[in-house]
Amino acid sequence: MPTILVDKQELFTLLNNPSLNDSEMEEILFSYGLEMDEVTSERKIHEKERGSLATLDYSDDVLYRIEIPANRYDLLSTEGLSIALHSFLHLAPPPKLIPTPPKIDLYIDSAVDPIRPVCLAAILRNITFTKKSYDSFISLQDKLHTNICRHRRLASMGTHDLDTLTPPFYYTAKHPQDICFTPLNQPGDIKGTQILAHYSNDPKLKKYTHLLANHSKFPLFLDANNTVLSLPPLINSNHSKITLKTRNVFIEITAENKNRADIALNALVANFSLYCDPAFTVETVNIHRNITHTVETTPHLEPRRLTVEYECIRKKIGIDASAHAINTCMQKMMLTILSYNTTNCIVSIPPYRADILHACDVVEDVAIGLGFDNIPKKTVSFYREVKVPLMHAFADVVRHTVAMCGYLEVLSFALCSKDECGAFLMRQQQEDTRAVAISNSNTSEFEILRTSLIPGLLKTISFNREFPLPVRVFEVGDVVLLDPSTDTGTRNDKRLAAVHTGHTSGFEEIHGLLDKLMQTLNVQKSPGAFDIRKGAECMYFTGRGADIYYKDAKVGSFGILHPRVLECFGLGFVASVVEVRLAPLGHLI
Amino acid sequence: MAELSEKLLTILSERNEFDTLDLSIELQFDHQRLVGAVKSLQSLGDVITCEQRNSKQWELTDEGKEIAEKGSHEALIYESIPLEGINQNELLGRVPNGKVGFSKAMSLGWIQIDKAAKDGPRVTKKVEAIEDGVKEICQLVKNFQIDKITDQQKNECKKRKLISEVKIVSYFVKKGTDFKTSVSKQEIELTADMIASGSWKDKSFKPYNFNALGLPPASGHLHPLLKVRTQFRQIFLEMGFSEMPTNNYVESSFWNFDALFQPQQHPARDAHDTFFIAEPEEAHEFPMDYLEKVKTVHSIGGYGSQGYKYDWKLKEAAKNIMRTHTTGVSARMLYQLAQKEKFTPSKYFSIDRVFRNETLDATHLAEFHQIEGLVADYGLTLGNLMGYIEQFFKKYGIKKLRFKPAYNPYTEPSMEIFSYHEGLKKWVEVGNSGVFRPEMLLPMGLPKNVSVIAWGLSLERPTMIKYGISNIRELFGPKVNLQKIYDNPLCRLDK
Repeated sequence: MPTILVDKQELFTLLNNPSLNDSEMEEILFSYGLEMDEVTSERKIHEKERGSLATLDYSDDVLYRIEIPANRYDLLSTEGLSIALHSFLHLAPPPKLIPTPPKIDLYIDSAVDPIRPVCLAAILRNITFTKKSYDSFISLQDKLHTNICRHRRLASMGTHDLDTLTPPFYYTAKHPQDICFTPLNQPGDIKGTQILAHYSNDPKLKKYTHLLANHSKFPLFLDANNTVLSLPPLINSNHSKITLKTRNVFIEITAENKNRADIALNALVANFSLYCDPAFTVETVNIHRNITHTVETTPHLEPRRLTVEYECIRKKIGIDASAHAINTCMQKMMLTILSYNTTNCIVSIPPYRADILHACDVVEDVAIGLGFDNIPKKTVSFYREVKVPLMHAFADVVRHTVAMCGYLEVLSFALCSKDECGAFLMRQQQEDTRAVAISNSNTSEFEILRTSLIPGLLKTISFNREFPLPVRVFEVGDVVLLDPSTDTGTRNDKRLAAVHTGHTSGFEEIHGLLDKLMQTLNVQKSPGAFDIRKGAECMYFTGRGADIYYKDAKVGSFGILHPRVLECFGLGFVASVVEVRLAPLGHLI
Repeated sequence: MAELSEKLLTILSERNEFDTLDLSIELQFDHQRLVGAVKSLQSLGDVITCEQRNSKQWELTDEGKEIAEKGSHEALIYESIPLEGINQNELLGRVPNGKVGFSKAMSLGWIQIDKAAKDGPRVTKKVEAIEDGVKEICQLVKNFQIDKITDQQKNECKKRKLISEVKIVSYFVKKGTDFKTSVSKQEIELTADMIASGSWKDKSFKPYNFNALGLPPASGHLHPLLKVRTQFRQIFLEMGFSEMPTNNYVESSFWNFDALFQPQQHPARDAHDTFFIAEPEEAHEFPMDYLEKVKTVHSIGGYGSQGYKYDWKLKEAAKNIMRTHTTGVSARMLYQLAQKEKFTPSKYFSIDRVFRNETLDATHLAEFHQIEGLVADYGLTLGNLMGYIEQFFKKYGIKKLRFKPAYNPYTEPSMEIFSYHEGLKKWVEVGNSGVFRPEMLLPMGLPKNVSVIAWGLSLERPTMIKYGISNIRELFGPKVNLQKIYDNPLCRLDK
């Protein structure tokens, strides 16, 4: 979940409600689905980061750190948040964005198609920045880059001082050797061939250089005089940098995915056209594609219309509210009622409410508008036969039996290292011991999925050296095996494993545990039913391992562990183990 | 010991009472051993009664004991002087504590010294015979005849550290209600032999110390986390929910994400949140009709939805992963439910492992257990979801709940569940919930007026709170403390 820092005073001024206190604010945020993470200040943040008292340079103005739901891109700035809360608290109609006719053209060269094909633009005219709103403008772009743009990969934006540039604009792609400009806040020109290397150590921008690394051409924004505006998605030029004095802002967005570009652009213009004169006017731009000769005008600010049935809303929430009450709830959530009758209404969804995909999203808005606390809570009951998977019940019988035999149950991870289920058990990499492998683990502890429960038990014992001997532990759990017959190509296999470790081998104890389990499960010991045969598994001491057969199929093994196995797991005592598959024993195959 | 005990009982039968200290003097017997015998008689039950008495007594110090036996230092000096006299240094060498003895003998006028003798100072006897009074006093003390000594003598000896006053605990012994003069050995255990021979009737049994600890049984134990799982399973069963089969740790991205309307660019699908499988890398055999519908609703929308408007790729959906939640299983169950000829309202739950590629710390593991409940029925409301959640948490002992609007990709409306924590005095998040989106349910083929409501929480968190465990690694994995499993009490979630 993204979080934003909001200046308390600024927010309250924008909300026109200076008398709220912090806990009242927290309550309002909670009921809207936002969370007050902390009440802080610039100074406190710096003191926390640096661990020392900050100098006088830092402000003591109260800041709220607020957690925003991941789909509400329109709330990622103080401005956007205050607009939404203004509607929520005072039923203020949401700002209606007014697109003005295009005056400026932008041409897309097909050279960008293989790299970053989508381009949108917008202009904010007669804007007035203050220090705070300027900072907020920059911060919102950062938040959008991180979230909806997925770290600039799916979309990225540049904002420019229009008065320093000469339209029309060109979005093209050039070979690095043909590029040279002064990037934002740099002292001089940097060549295209050097730009990735230059930013590869930049703490903020290094994470974006890989987005261009494999391309022979870099995307580039130019004006009519070939002045570079930006090299998306990496950096803007210093030439067109916006400042507190900027009055006209040109915004360009380039992207892989058009929907995300639309959402990001609309969030940006919706939040900051507030400072334009007249407020909420956005100048559109004509986007020309030179191959198809199509012209598109952006941004797309037309509100969407949705017809919703009151009865549907009542049924989904479980309320008995009047049409009027439901309308009020929708208005609180920035939805405008265009028309309504007793059964349904047509709502207008502002272009910046990208989170509304379906009528069910309007249902949620009504529920929030109403307040979750005000929804009557009712259970329904219907009779249905209750079922538990047979294996779960069977596994519980086995767990209880083994525990009653004096064994302690442990719970080990399904993920383990290759060695633990392989070399440590002296197993060869044969076909039948191959394991499901993880491709992106950060640690060698989690390389594969366990193919045996024994390593987990031995590790647990090795971490419990103080426990009095003999140590008797067991686990009933799933191992995961390759199985081409399932859709994922893998299968969980429920096993029981138990270990007896102490000064003597404990072989007879483990054998006795197996016998007791079989007797509990009503399995007779006779050839063709349950029988024990000389085994050949490598993890056992020579001549001290046996295979367990059930109905002439091998279902497990038991024996005294080989001293080398004990050594691999750091155990200084003798140990006997048993591991057996549960599905055949429970007739659950 | 038994001999002494019987002797004491005989004395008691003659006199009816005695004091251990007096008796020890009378019998010239070590008091401590006498007390030991009385104590063992006392342990037989009501054979005797004892009353503790404290008194003070004069006793010889080690030096005093030596004097009582061998004579005082001054007497020893006197005795060591031959008729012709002796060199002083030689004399002092012959007698231990010679210096003290010499100066005492001098002041008593028993001996004299000729300092002008030609081979050094020479000591000779001054009187013909002496009387060793100090030795006599010490012998009187030894024989408990302290009353024959004058206070002046007592003080003199005390000053010379020959006697000291000590506190003595003695016992005044009387006959008890079960008094008898013979003691048989007390039995500790009632044995099968005694019952067979009937000898138990004549034996007396040693009283049992009921405050001592019993012998710990060599018992096995179930794991604390799984004990809590049993309780949660019980809650669901009481509420009429059936358990889903969750025996597939490896899941395809399709069922884990795509079927849940979670877009392919969603951050949860990044490598730093989810474990991807290298082998087998991809799943195959999807229900293709359904898959096409999922693809459509993601890429261009449908069922009244705008969709996410992006290029949905089968390759991304086919990627195998370690399931990040059990909701993929729920999706499979709901899909199966939708394939049936007639929809039947259903209630399902599961409690099983899920996996996240997280940085491990005291509260995060790469695997943990997720608890999930869901209800599918015609016309379920958000109020019904709240009702079910309240019922569920009430059984778990939590009565004060609040709901906060939230965002999940596959539920709308979505609610985080908060409970009031009496210890922390604030609302803490205890779970997540919501109504499954139509974009998830309708492609499966569920009837349009069927709603599915669901909630989930982790198993570890309530268990850690219940048992006061602050580090999750003590609960799950090899670093568990076996002693804690042994000592773990029963689990009742409602208390």
